[in-house]
Amino acid sequence: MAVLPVLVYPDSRLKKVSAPVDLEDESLAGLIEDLLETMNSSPGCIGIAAPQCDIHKRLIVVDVSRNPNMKQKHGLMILINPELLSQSGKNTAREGCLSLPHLTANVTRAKRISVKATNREGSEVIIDASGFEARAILHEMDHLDGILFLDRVSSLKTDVFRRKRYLTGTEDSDQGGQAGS
Amino acid sequence: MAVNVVLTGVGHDRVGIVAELSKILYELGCNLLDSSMTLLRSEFAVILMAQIPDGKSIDDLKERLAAAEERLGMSVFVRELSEEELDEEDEDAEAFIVSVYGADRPGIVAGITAELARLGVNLTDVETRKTPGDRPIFMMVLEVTLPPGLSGDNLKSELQTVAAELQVDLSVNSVEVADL
Repeated sequence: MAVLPVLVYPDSRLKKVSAPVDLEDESLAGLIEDLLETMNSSPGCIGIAAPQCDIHKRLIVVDVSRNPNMKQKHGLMILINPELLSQSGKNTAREGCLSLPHLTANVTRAKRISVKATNREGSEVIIDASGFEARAILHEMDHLDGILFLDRVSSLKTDVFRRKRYLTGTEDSDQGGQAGS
Repeated sequence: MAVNVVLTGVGHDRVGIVAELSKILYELGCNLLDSSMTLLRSEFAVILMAQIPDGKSIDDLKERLAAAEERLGMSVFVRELSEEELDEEDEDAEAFIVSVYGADRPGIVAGITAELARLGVNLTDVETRKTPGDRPIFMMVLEVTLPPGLSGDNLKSELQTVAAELQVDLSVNSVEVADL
């Protein structure tokens, strides 16, 4: 178990596309533990993707319940090889990212999503998520394809902000607060 | 006939610049057309179009602005606009957002915009920002319109080549308009 160092942009490794996880891989359980420990070590962090820790595998962890101001229903999710099955609606809210520590941004994403993934026990799960939970999953899934929130903003003036406070987990709570990584 | 003018100015930011500038225009009987005003760090910039009423001249406006220049803390430039210059840009052209970001270094804007100029792409909005810290990130978001014959995919692949040379990351997204 270890808190892994998090890559910070402009580290080009954040732009790599991650490879599918081999479910037989014996290091997987340890990797999941490390990711959880890394997420839990950052106050306000509600999700992290393996490639942010320089492990270029399709694995994300999300736990919106870490922020008491956000509505959620799934608690801790460990999603291996997640695939987006469907999405609907649109909603814009403020996101932060451990890999872009000086910035936050208004990002438009789907309101409701359905995602297929393998869970920690190796079973296939279908997750129907909405609101901030959907946003957190989509944000982390973007990392698996080397996409950062700066790829999804349309104006620096109205969408991108210098971060004034760091990961307190309560900033802009009316808009849903800070997203995970 | 009424005279149309464009007015530009930059000055150190403080409370009341817009109020004082617009008061001068209002008292002369000018009608404001379009304007864009924004703050960059400590500097406030104005670009504004206005119509001067019959019986008043561009010199009347310049005179009043000159009298207020010191108080405004802003050097203001005024130029007359022809009818053609008042026309809107072609609104039918397809608009795209080009987002560029990377480790800060000189040449990112020059490199990307040189390629856009070569492709005949028109820039309609440009914003850049540099983050603080030891390893600053430079970001640029452009709103562009494409010339006939150039697709969004073409634009993306041409720009990706330049972005790779400049060691920056780049994305191209169409501006989605929901017709309701």
